[in-house]
Amino acid sequence: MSGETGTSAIGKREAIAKAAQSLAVTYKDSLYSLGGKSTSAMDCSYFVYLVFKEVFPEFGYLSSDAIAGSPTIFSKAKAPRVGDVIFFPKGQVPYEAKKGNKREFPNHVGIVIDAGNWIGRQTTKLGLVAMANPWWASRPCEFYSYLRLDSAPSASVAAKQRVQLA
Amino acid sequence: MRRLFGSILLLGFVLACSADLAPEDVIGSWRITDVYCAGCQVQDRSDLGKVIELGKSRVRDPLSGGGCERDIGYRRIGPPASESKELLGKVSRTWSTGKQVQFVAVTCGGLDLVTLAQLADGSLVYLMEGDISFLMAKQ
Repeated sequence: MSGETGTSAIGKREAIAKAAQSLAVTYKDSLYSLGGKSTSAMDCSYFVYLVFKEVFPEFGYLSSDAIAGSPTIFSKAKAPRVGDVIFFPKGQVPYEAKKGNKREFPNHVGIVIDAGNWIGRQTTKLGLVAMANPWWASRPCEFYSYLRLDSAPSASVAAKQRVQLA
Repeated sequence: MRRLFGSILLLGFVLACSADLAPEDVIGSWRITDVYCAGCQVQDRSDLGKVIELGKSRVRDPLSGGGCERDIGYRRIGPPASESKELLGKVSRTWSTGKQVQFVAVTCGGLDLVTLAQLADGSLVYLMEGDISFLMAKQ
């Protein structure tokens, strides 16, 4: 990864997406562990931390709730863009609720890598999830942009960024 | 004595081979024959009969919202979570936490796309997120 210096906003977003893909391969054999903060056993927020730290070395670990609740670090986006964090609040999963499973699932985060996919450390895999995945798509979700991704972009870059993904 | 020792070795080798299912064994078309949900109160059969195509160059998977048509791969993996085998055991005691359960990742462009549990009888369990999994039989 090239790091942050001298990279345009779009370049930073692409760098996040590439880091997510690269690290998902690097740590493909890691175990899912709720609260895990090592490269051998991790949860969703630690994977997001590893990805952002790859591009922004000063990035500090944030829990899923902290990502969604730290407006000075992450801003809520109206629509997903490459490099955004996809955030699922804790709660029932409609896909399962309609089958009578009322269990509350913990919140979850991943990285948007393109218009149709995101990558995250789920319980079943560290890998690719389609936006259209029926289990995940049934859950309410929000998108958050790391503020440093879009810091002082040029006018042309900003215009390109307005191209929405979905 | 030597013959007995040889027989034990041979038996061990046969058992080891029978348990060593190859990831390539998952390639083919698989039909959902049963749906398991550990915490569900309703027996939802709507996914029964759906077909997942696991090919060498293409995956069609209605359960994941699409599939993949680039650089498909299959690889043996360990349990994706420390409780994976326990989860399988909750779904069906006959699967229990036995050594016969093996896990396979279907990859798309090098990224893990689908996680499967491969049972000793050759059937597959598709591990959805949450409490849901699907038993599949090869067509």
